[in-house]
Amino acid sequence: MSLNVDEIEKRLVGLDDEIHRLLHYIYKSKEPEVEVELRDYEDLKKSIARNLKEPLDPSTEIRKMRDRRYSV
Amino acid sequence: MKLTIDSDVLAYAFIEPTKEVYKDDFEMFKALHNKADYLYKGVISGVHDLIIPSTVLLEVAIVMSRAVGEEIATRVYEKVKRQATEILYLTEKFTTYCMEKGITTHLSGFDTVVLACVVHANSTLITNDQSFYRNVKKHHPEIRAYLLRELDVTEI
Repeated sequence: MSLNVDEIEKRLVGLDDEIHRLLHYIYKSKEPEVEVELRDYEDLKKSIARNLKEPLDPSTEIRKMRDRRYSV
Repeated sequence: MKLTIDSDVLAYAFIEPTKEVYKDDFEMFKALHNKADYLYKGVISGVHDLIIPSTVLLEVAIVMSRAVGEEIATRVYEKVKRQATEILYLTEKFTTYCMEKGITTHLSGFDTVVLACVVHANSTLITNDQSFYRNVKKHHPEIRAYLLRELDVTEI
């Protein structure tokens, strides 16, 4: 079987692309879970800040709940 | 380090105050948020193990729902649940354990559950509730407990 140089070059370029895509996939799939979780946490904080219209004091609110000072 | 982070401290972590909403109290709430945020990021990063009773999950979700609605509250609930190393659910066994702690300390119901979790897990308690903190120190001086507002987070 004989291959000309052009054919070899074409196949190598294709192979290079495949390897590049494979490496990219591996990199993305192994992106540390911690970074994803930290980003998600930051996003969630931003959503809360955008939606919070009145100041909330968590210690006071939780204390009220524990002392059953909320009416139902 | 094994941490039992109380409901209020978890809420402080998720609520990043703005000057527009908190006005004159901004600096105080920002300082509390920064400390709670530092601790919670330590949990996400695996520096700390978060060990909480299921009641803390409930309280955080409920207080968040009152402030910013059900959808975000559910996301917070799921996130904290996912990040926790251990959640102590109110099974018959754990309830009995809580009762045994409660009848000697006379704390309120959910305070008792948090305290029982700390004792059971031999963890460090972080709360910003002054009265709860005082009671824990009174009845269980051997427990490692910190009040968020007085805490130097680099000590943890």
